[in-house]
Amino acid sequence: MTTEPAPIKDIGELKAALQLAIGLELSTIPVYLTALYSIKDGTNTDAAQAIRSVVMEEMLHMVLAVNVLNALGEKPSVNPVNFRNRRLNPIPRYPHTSPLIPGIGELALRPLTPAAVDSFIKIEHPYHGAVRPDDIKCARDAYPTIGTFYEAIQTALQDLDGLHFHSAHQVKATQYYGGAGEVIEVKDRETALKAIGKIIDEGEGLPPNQLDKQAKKVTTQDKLNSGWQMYSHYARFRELQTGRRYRSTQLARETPEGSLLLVDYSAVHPAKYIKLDDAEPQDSPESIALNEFDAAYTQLVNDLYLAFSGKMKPVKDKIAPKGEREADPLLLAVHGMRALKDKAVALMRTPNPANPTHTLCPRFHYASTP
Amino acid sequence: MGNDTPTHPDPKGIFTDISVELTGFDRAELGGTGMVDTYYDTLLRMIGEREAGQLFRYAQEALDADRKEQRKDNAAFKKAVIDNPRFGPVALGLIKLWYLGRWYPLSAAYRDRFGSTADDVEHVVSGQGYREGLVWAAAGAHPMGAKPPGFGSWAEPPSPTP
Amino acid sequence: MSNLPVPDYDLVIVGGGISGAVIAKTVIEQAAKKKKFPRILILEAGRATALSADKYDTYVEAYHKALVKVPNSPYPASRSAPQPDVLDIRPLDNTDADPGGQGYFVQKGPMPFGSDYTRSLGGTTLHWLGTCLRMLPNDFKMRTTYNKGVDWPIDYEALKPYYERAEWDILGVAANVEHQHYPGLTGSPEEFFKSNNTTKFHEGSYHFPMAEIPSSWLDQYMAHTVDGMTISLPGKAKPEHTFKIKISNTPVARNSTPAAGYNVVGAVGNADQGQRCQGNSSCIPICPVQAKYNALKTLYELIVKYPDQLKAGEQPGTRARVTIQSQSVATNVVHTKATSTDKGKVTGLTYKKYYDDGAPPQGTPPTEYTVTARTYVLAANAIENATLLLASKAANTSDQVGRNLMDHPLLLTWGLLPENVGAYRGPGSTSGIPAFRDGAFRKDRTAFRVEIGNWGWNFPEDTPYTTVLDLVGGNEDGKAQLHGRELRKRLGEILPRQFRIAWELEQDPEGRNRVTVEDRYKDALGKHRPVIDYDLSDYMKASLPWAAEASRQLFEKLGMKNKVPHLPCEPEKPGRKKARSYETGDYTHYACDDASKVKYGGETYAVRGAGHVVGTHRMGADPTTSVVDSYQRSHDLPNLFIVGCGSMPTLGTSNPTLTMTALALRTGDEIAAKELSA
Repeated sequence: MTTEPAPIKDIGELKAALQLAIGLELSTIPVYLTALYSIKDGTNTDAAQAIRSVVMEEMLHMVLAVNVLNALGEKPSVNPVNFRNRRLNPIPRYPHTSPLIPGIGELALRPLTPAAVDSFIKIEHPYHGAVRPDDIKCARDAYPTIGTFYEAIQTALQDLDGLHFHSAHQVKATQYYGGAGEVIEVKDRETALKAIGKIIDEGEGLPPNQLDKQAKKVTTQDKLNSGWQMYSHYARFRELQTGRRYRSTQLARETPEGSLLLVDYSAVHPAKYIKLDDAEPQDSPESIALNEFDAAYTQLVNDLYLAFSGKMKPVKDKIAPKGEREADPLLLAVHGMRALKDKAVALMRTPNPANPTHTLCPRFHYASTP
Repeated sequence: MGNDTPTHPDPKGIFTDISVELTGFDRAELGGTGMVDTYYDTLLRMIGEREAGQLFRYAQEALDADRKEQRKDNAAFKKAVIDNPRFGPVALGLIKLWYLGRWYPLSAAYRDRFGSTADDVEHVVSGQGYREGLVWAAAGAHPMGAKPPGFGSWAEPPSPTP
Repeated sequence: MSNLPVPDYDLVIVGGGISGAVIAKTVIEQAAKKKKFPRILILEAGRATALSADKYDTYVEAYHKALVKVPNSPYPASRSAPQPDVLDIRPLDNTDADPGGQGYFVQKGPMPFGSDYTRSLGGTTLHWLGTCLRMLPNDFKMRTTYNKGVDWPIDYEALKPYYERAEWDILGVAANVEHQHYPGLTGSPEEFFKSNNTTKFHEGSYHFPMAEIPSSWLDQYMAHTVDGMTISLPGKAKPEHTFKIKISNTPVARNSTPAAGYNVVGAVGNADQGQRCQGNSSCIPICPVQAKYNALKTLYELIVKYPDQLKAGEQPGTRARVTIQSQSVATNVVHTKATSTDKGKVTGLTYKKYYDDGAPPQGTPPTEYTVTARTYVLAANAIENATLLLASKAANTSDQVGRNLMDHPLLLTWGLLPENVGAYRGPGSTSGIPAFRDGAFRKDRTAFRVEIGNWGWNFPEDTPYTTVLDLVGGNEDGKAQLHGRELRKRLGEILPRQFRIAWELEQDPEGRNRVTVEDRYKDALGKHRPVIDYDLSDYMKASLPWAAEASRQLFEKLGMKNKVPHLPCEPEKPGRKKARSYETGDYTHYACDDASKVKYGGETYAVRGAGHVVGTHRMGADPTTSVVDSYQRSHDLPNLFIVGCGSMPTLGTSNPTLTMTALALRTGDEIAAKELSA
């Protein structure tokens, strides 16, 4: 039974969809980061590199969605949005099942385990692991897959009348760069479509026909650059899942048969996520550390959204006139990311006193999300 | 059985408590370095299990006493461990170990009384030990060559140290 | 001509460091414009280094694990290609001792030569700081302007286009033109940097490929406190010289925010990494993410783009090819002597390939090979170039090979600031004080550059280690002086206030400061070890009291007037019973057993090596007083180029790598233009 998702009908709905797209990209990052940071020092180098490369691209996709939204004159916001009679929080609480895109399944924070890798593949597969999109149970006001969600945005950007684009608060290519590729600054319909197209090409919205294409293609230029460009998230995680690289002649839908990719699941911190509600309220050093992590994550998200709305952040500085100056929140968010990593790793090394075979797991709880 | 069953002591737990006392970092902070098990092993390699057992006994009794009397200066611990010629030099080694990630050999005076082990030479315990040296956190910084705080972080005002 | 044997290669380069890599790249790129495709061999004496990210990580780990953290800590040396180590710098007072008894250098004194270099693929750029200051116009004409040293055969304007290419095409330099305030210039910084390349830079208005690396908060604090102050120093002719102080951000080969059109070069084999400096605070000895340039980046580009191995169907001579061979130590530059009608020329290069890394080569004996080429390049470091030429008795009609060895002797001063300035954060240095880099005073004493250090007292006192040891104490009675929260708090009060400055003194060229070879001093492979005679001139020493006095005035302004007493002649002994009190003030002092003590004007100073090994085959127009011409071509053997910092006739106050790179680009152009066959 086919239920075509409803098209995005007006500007208001498009803006809401883009707010949720930003949140969607952001919401996958903790899932990957938890696995990445659970890897013990100096081990699983290749697996870590693969996951890190995906995270960097998810961040890029978030920025691309931000640029499109800003170009439409709407500021990115952490606040709940109304989308088709539902009030949705862009920033989730884990474990999280997206009401917007049920196909993804549950987003859970887990260390690097075979089950975690399976869940990554589910996220990145065109039909999220289903054989056909029709197999995914989905209400008409939602989207079965990430691909269909971005297609709807694409169609709306293309077809809706009365869209006015202007280059406002764009995160610039020079501010954000890395192996993940270049940021597209959005100033008109064409660049907006290009930005969404880039998310679709690289990301979770992998078009189904990509499975029938060569899994990877490495050129000389790729060797000098990062080597990931021609390589979908799905293919990278398939390699992790199977413990083998694709051969250069293989298609993405095939089982990788190339050289071995060494993944050692025992060289991973045995972190175990405890739901916020289940955490015992106490003043133990461990609880304090978990709360500090959530505070740092909240701060980071706030800095990011402040940067996305084109604002500067006042910071205390005793040598500045009047003891205060303005700082670029995007740069502060970069520092926040680094600090968050160190905190996450520390948590995942710390035994849980209630269950000493497991270590603590960061909760990535954004304070204002209920 | 029943009430006669002794509770089995938890040596690593006592080692952690001693380390908290010696370093001024709490249990989660020390756990976060991932070095508790390694340093526990290091201690045993340096003074042997038997002597470590003695240290743990005296230290635990002192910590219990301090806790019971709610003493802020932990005078009992200081007397039993820091100022004790038997355990003081070991405590000294542990402080340096936690702060710098390297073992500094025990003194000749200590060895004259208690002997020494073959491993008791100056060495960096591991790369992770270096990276997790508490001195960097105490300085409000990060280890040189690891845990980079990000582009331009050095241009921001220093965060106050505790 | 045509019946001469075909040489093995178009170009053989000795040394897989920055000069060799730049010349290979430049020759290939320039030759391609004329449809010529050279085949190049690069011989590296040391081991191959990591060319992938996971392998590079092991060098970082080696540094973390090293008991002694010196510049060469991450890079294992081979006994077959030993390298100098700053730990070998010991006092030379005992003249009875065999100077060849320790280390790699044979130090004959009277001063020890205090700098090292790295014999591994990538060379010393593996552990350089990354500073990329251009030399100042007067630095090229010291004889004409100040009647000191010698003039260069080229001037600043001639080198300028090569500086620009070095900054853009090789090193990737981060700086803002408008923040470069140098003395002795008549015009603005914009004029100093004005480019002749108006196609690339609109109206010649130059900009660097990346925005400056942000100045550390310490730099900002310094600027806030001392900018605009005047330092007065006693002179001979004038009663007083005055210097207006301005803290200036230092150009560095460290990745930052790119200008439009510039592609940032990340880590070798993993370009995702190192796209920007992350503040690892370990430029020396290793940048963990390779945000700082190292020669591996250029070498990697060469072997990826121009592999020696031809693909199926590829014809030789249709594209450039590069081979890198490590563990291959050049031992002889085979050459013919000049006759009355002809100059001599190099006919081959002999090298030994060793197999037993880290042990004397006895299992499998090293194999000796002789390779031939149209053109030969020695790019093995100033000291290595000199020993090879001297051992080969080549290219030395001028008797200048090995002479004029120079460095930037450093005077360190350090103190404890009244406030937390966040020490131990950021790159080793982000700013300096350029005021003393040029001026009329250079008639009487050498110029100097002031580098502000971001890493507390790490350089002079091996902190934070010694600070912890000092506070914990207990060496004598076995009782910790401080422990627990008190220790943590005290460290937090002291370490972030630690501050140090390096006063980098220009050394002038002297014939007596030289590298020689003696048959009794050879390494495990039988190659000559460098024998070094080294001292400082009075002209140079005259800057020591100036630097010390300038430091005094600066420290006073920074609230560190209080000279914290240090027991005279007490060797550094961390953990003595009474810890220091750590009051605010000037902690500069010199240990009695310091190997590099200098007495001058009744005062004792101690200097350190800067790792700037310069001047052993200087360039000049006159073949009787110089070894190479301005293209670094040997006067004696025209198919031999002797390149690197050794070619620099004088040193100025710039760290020499940028200038060396500019010179290498110029040499690459010359080789591509004149040396390659059709």
